[in-house]
Amino acid sequence: MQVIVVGVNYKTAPVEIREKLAFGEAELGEAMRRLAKQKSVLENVIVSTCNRTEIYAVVDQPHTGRYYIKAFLAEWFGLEAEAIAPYLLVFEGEAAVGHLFRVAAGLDSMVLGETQILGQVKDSYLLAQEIGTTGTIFNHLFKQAVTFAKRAHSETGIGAHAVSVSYAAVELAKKIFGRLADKHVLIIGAGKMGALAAQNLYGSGVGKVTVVNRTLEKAKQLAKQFAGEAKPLSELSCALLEADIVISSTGSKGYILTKEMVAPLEKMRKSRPLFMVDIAVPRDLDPALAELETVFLYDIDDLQDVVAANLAERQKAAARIETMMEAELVAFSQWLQTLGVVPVIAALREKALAIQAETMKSLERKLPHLSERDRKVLNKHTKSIINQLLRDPILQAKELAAGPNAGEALELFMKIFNIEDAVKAQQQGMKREETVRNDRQQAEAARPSWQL
Amino acid sequence: MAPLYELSILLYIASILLYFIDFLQQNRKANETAFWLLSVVWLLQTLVFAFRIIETKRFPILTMSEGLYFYAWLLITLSLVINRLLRVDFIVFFTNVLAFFILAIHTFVPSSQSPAIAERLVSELLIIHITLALGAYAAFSLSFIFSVLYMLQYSLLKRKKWGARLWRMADLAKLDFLSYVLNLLGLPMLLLGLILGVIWAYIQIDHFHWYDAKVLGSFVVLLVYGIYFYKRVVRQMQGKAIALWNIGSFLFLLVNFFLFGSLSKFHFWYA
Repeated sequence: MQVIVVGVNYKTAPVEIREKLAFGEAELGEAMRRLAKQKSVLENVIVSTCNRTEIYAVVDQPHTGRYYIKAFLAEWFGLEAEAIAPYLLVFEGEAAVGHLFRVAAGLDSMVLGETQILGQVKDSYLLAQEIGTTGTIFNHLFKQAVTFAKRAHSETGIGAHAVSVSYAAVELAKKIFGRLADKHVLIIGAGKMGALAAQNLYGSGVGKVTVVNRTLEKAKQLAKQFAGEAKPLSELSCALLEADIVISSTGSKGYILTKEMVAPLEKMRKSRPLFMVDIAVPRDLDPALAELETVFLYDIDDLQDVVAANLAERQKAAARIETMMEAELVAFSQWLQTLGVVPVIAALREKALAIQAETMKSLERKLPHLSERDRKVLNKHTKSIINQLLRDPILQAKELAAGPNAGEALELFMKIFNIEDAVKAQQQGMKREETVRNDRQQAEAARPSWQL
Repeated sequence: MAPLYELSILLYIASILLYFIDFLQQNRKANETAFWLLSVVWLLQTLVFAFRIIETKRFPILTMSEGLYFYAWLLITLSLVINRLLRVDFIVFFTNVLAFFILAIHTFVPSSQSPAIAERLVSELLIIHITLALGAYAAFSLSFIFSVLYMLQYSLLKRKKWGARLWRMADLAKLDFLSYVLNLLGLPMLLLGLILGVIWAYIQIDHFHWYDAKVLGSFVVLLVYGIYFYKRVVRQMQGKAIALWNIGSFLFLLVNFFLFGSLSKFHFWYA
């Protein structure tokens, strides 16, 4: 029994493929219900967003689970399994659990550290829980992943600051003025860039917008969009007296505003701060304006630097989250082991497969004329009988292990199938694996680190 | 009481160190731990203060040592309140660096300064005068810290030093406003404190001199903060110029508190 992830995301598949493999919100429940009926799949949650369609499942065996989930995807979307295979990502066991933690915390997102994905993961899980496609393992794992992601966000503040140029300008304005509700924005130039910047600020709730342009008609058209005022370029100085924020994006080859033009206005503005953003190339605003005490002048490169700095902070936070995640993985793995059901299921499968292998040998002895193809067909179908027959007992054992009197219930289960000794052997094998893993981790931790 | 006080100092050092780590490395855990340590420090210092009230059977602010202790206690209290109510990053750190500095001076000032004279001159008027003056100093101190933060944030924005520190620090408008509000609280307290102090001096002191260093200094402090309000309210000045004026005003206040206090002819128990 193992957790696996099969799906596509923006890293593995282009948008043409992702859009073909996207579940609509309305069909998500039905898809999870139908997937639950697939062979090998014991629990499932489907996370489907514009950047990813990922199926998280608890399966009795990774390879069969993988196969049936791929087949389900192909069937649901009416595509050939071979056509989608190259774009699929597959994670199994600890890697799959780690992937879920990363996705929930926004570390696997296109915009590193974004928080929207956490809501989407949570919604998918709640839907799955409601329709009954989750069980003991996913009920624990998804709750742990959501709690971890929330903690990671609050402790590192990974998603706190702008990683887009337009939002960086708004954020900078807020660092100067606090709230923008009573602020006056002056747009110089009525081009597309100016309109876009005005749109962002207007969306952030600025109080008033004035557009100044060489052609008054164009200024009026743009001002109308924001219920603002239009003025000709000749009234720029007057407009500057009232403005708090200036966005300049004209096609002028020289400076529209110089230090000498703005300096006399400083006193009349009573030292009110003036936030100026120059998004024109070549620049509209004289860089010497920044020497004025009340002027905060930024150009497009500065805004890009803000984004780069914020991204660097997010990378640092992401590294911290990765470290925090290791403890979560260990905690989940330990919880899974305390369930005690893993060796029981493994022993049961081993016994069933041994019977199937014996049966195949007997068949081959009695029917020596069988071709290679016949043997393969028989092998596949007898395994299928085993899988189908074991599906319900495995599901029940998994739930019994988390219920009250789990120990007694599992013991009874082992007695019925006569697998007590095999379970003990499995437990010893797992302990050995655990010791090897711990030794390896300790050896790695003991290695000197030169990072201060 | 001494072990309690020593424990509070040790915890105070740990708290400030953790705040410093948070300031350098943006460490939320260090910040949270520092806040809780500081809350414990506040509790211990309040207990020590209460013990001193019981021990001396009066409000213990009459000597330099006692006054400094009360001043530091007020700063810690205000920083905790502001941090809880307004959530302005770094204000607790900077305020407590100042409060610790004041507490350090308190530790080195002899605690048995003329208690007999102090007790002879004690009256309700004097207690209110000193309490109001120290309350005003605490408000001005926090206002000064907000102005320092304003200058830091201004400098980061002007020099385009992008990074976590810039985002964590409050916006310029908020820092400017809070600094103004605290001065608005401090100025009437100082004015009332001075009026009551003059009345007390006329009643208790035989030779009260208007040209005494501390008296003159205190009225200059009042004038300097009065000019701050004139610039701010009448001339509607804001931003860097007013923040610098506020920082200068507070530095003069410190000079008045420490230097002019020692030159005063009748603040002898406070010298």
